[in-house]
Amino acid sequence: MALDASQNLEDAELLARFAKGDRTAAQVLTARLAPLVFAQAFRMLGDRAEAEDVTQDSLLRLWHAAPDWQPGQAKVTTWLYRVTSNLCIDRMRKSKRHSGEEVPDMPDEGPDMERRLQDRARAQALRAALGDLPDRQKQAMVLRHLEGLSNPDVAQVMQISVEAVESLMSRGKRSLAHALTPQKKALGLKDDG
Amino acid sequence: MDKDFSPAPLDDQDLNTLFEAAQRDTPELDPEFLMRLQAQAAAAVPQSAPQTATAPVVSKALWGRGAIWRLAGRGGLGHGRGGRGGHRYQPTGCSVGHHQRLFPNRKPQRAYRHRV
Repeated sequence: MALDASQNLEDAELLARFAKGDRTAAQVLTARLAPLVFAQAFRMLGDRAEAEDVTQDSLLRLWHAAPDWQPGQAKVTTWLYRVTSNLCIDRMRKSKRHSGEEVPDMPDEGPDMERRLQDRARAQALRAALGDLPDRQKQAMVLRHLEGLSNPDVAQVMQISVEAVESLMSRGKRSLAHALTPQKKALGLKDDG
Repeated sequence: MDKDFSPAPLDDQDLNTLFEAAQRDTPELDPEFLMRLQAQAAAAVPQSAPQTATAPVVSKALWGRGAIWRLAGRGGLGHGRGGRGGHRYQPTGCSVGHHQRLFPNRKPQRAYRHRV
C-alpha cells in the first residue's frame, strides 16, 4: 500500500495490514509508535540505552502479537503502554537502577538555554524522586502526568480500577512532594510559604 | 518568636511544573535507531502472508533462450547484454545461490560452477 495512504490509517488497521504482509504498514506503524514507546521507557528508566532496548523489545512483541490481534480487543497504544511498563518494571527490579542516573548531553547554547537548563535540573530531580517510589506508584505517575493518559486509560493499562489509580496517584504525589520540597528553591519554584 | 524558614511543601502546581519540565526534557528517538527498528519491523512481517514488497516478478514470457543472461544483465550481475549477439555470460562475483533461487530445477552450468 502507498505510504501516503497508510499514514491516515488507524493503528489497528495498520497492524492488520502488517499481519497480512504489508511492509509499508510495518514502517508507518514503527515511525508512529516507536517515539511514544521510547519516551515512556526513558521517563521510567531515565537511561537512553535501556529505553532503546525496551523500545525494541516492545515493538518485537507487538509484531509477534499482530497475527492474533483481535480488532476491538484493546487500543494498540494501550497494549503497548502496558507491555512497555511491564518491561521497564522488570528492568528496574533486576538492575535495581533508579531513573535520573544518566547525565544526558547538555543542551546546546541558544536563546532559551537558561530555560532548558532549568528544565534539565527539574527533570532530573523529578526522575530521581520518581525512582524512589514503589513501582506501581511510579508507573501510574508516569502514565498520568508524563504520558498524559486519562485516569481510565491508566487503569486500563495497569489493569486495575480507576479508584486504585487515584489512590496510587494520591500517595505518589505525597511522596514526591515530600522528597522534593527541600529542593524547592534550587529548582526555581516559588515559595509562598 | 522563632519563625519557621522551612519551605512550604510542593503543591499540585509545583508538581505540574516539574512534570512539564520532564516532558520537555525527554530526548528524541535517534533517527538511525528508528531506521533499524523499521528494518526489523519489515523483516518481522509474516512470511506466509502475500508480500507487498517490490521483489522482482519474472514473467514466463521471459523464459526463452538466453533469458537468464538477460536477467543477469538487468540485475547488474554480469555482462549480459540482452541475449542478442550471442554474448557469453561472464560471472563477476554473483553467488551461485542467486541463480539456484531463480532456477531451482536447473543444473548449474560449467560457466559458473567454478564458484562452488
